Amino acid sequence: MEENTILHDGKLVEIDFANVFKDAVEYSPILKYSDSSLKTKILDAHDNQLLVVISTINSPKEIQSVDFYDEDFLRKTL
Amino acid sequence: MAESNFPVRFVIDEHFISDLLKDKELAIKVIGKLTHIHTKSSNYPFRHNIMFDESFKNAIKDKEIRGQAILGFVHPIPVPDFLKEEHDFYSKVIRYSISIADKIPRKIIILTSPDKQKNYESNQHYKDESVKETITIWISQSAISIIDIVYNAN
Repeated sequence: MEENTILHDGKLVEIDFANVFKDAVEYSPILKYSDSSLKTKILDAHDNQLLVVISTINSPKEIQSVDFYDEDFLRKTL
Repeated sequence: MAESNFPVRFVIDEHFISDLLKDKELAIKVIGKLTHIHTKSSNYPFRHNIMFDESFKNAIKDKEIRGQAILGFVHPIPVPDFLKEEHDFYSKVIRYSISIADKIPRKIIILTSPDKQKNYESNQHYKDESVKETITIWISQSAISIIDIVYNAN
């Protein structure tokens, strides 16, 4: 998961389709989560839903937030 | 997931984003279409729409979290090596656009704001007729209309 990534404000910001993140969640042993609900949020997302996932740049890689990239997200962030 | 060939690539500057954000609800609709093009592109998935890092930084300087929204519809890139000595921003954008215009889809649209359009059109690198035919500069409502056409092209 490095293609659609920027380093921003000291964190790794990744935007991709949920199926890509699901694959990482299911098969990558190095991923950690600041909250277990984040893992559930990824696994429950529709495959073609765009997600914004923010994680640490340090070892281990810890996912700290998961957002749906939708109109509500744009309204909040723009 | 279905992927698509879109007929143009977009090179976007911070002035377009700033102009677009004057109407936030309209911006959300337009960004939704740009996001679709950017992420579903078969040739350049998540790379279809391009912006220089410096434009990205300028676009978020008043609101950092906006960077997360922008990342969904445009890919920020560092200035390529061949442009390191180029100091004029508009020359950089045009010369970069020329550098990618020989690859599919061979049409580039620069999206900017009304007050910056002239800076591109009067630029020394935007004189050649073949350049003008391949790379066009769009603003405001006409930019929104062309985004709509590209979005509906597949």
